[in-house]
Amino acid sequence: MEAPDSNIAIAAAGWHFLCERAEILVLRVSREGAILHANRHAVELTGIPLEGEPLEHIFLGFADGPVGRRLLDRTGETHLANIRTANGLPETLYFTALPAGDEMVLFGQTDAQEQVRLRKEVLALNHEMGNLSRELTQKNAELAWLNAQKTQFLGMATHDLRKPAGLILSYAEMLEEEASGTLREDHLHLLDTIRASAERMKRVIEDFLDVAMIESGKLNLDMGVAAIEELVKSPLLLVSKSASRRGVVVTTDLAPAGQRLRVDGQKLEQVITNLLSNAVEQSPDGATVQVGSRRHGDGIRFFVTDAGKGFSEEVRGRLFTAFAGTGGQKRDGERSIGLGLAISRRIVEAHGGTMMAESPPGKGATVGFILPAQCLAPMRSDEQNGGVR
Amino acid sequence: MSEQPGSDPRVDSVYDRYLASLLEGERTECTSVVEGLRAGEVPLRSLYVDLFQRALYQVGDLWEQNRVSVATEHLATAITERMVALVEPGVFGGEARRRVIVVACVADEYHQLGGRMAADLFELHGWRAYFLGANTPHSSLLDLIEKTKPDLVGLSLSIYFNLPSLLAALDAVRAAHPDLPIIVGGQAFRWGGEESLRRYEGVTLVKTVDDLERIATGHGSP
Ligand code: B12
Repeated sequence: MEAPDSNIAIAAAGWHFLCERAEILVLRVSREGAILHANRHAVELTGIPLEGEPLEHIFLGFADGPVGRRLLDRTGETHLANIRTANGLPETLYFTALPAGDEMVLFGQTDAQEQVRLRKEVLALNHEMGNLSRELTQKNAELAWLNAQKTQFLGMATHDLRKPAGLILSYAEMLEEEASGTLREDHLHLLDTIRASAERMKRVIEDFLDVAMIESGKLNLDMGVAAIEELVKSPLLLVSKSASRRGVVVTTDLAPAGQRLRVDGQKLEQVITNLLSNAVEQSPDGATVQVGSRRHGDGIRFFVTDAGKGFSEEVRGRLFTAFAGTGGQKRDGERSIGLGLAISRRIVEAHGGTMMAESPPGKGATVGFILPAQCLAPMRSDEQNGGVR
Repeated sequence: MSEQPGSDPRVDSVYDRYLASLLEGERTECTSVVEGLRAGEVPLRSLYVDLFQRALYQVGDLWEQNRVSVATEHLATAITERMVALVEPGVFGGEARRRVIVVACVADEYHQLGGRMAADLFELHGWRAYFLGANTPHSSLLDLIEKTKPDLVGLSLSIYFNLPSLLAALDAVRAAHPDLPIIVGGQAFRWGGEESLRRYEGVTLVKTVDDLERIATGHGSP
């Protein structure tokens, strides 16, 4: 039977449309699997001039063998396959191979239903994301405000506690000095406990005040010039009593000798005191604690090494974070809130430096800080007859 | 440069560039326009009304005239949501708020940007504004009302054909909270239809941003 002319014309128009306009991938392929001709959409989608290429080249090679071959072998069936596209993202098309004389024609199209569903779901997910982001932003603002309130409250509360704690401490000291002759032994012991507790309380209050001050952004550095030896002097003095009580020996190894630093001396002394008293605290009776310094790049590194139990990798990660619970148990079983290292970190960071900590298994701990080059003052300085202020 | 009566001239000067980028789906360009305006401390209200809302209305017009595809419109909306999220940190003050509003889109309503912006405008005027997005089931709305005890509820309706959903939501809120004032907003009432709300006590239709702000600042009913 002869096809009427108009059918041929329609077929030709259809083929032309498929080749030039349709958003369907159309490939004429040899039975051996070489691409003979690719329509415009196929070339645009894949970004390669397909003609002459082996069919397999357009597919993403997955584990289960040659994809193109299988499609050609199952003529008339529709199968899903993934191709590489010009934009680098894979695309899933539904392929059907049809025989055409000596050749094959391979059609690949997207699933419209699937696209509709995808669009709808992405829209809905985007809605949800939008709402979640709004909620988060809102909560974030509330938390920031609450945090500021907390800091302010902490500041006010500790400020009010400072005076009474100070009074208890100084009166207890006064009594110890002046009335020790008239008090019984056990009363003296009670008095000593009062004094020690008040001292501890005062330290905690001072830590809190520091945190409150730092968190409210009021950490102002009062810069001066001082030699490293001077910076460790008062920290050494401050820990000497508790060290000698337990036979802990503190050695110093400061280098480069006489190095002068441009820092807030008082605040750095606070840091060193904190590191030192932690080290003494953590060391067993009769152990040695070393405080030292070395050049570090073009800056300087301070360190305090103890002979205590050290800390785990996990604890190391939050060592310098306030209230992170790393203060842990002190040797005498007392819990500490562990603000000292967090405060130290803020002070060091305000100088442009960083804290460091290491604890090789079984070898105690080394905790310290690194100050950058700008904290080093010229060795012989006539600009300011510095000293720690 | 295109101008719109009453709008911020700084926004007007970048409006065309923003709209073009929005239609092209160029989110980075949109971001830089918005960041530029924020850096110049253009008020958020202007960004919302003179830029985001105006551009989306225009996108809607182009779409209605078959000049842009629904894909373009979807992308433009998604980018706008992103722009809102970008500036939203400036919307929220974290301090405790005295007045609370819950804003929601009713069931089957997928236009949520208008409601979100309305909620943000209330935040800007010192309210704590909770927002439930598109297609909110009555149960979620009632739950949030229960939890947050709002002074006001706002319902958003963009599609007039969704009126039955709005009325059902009004009935549900009324049944549980007979005296809770409710406001209704959105484009569904652009061409009238407010008589259907008359049978409800304490339900007010808010037609303009100025009206919204009068209510938010306590200078208008409710
Ligand atoms: C984006 C968009 C969509 C997106 C929405 C996605 C999203 N994330 O929101 C999608 C693709 C889902 C969508 C779908 C449809 N859309 Co549509 N869409 C739009 C478009 C382009 C922008 C909407 C927008 O965000 N505007 C910007 C915001 C800020 O403006 P606003 O909503 O007016 O909000 C302000 C005020 O109205 C008011 N307000 C809003 N809510 C509230 C609530 C309270 C309590 C208060 C006080 C104030 C208030 O304050 C806001 C700030 O000023 C508009 C065009 C337009 N003119 O807006 C069409 C438009 C709203 N859509 C329309 C239509 C017809 C549809 C469809 C029915 C199309 C269809 N046949 O599929 C569907 C319906 C889907 C559904 N069931 O909801 C028509 C609505 C006609 C009508 N009034 O009935 C519009 C107007 C387009 C048009 N020109 O024809 N659309």
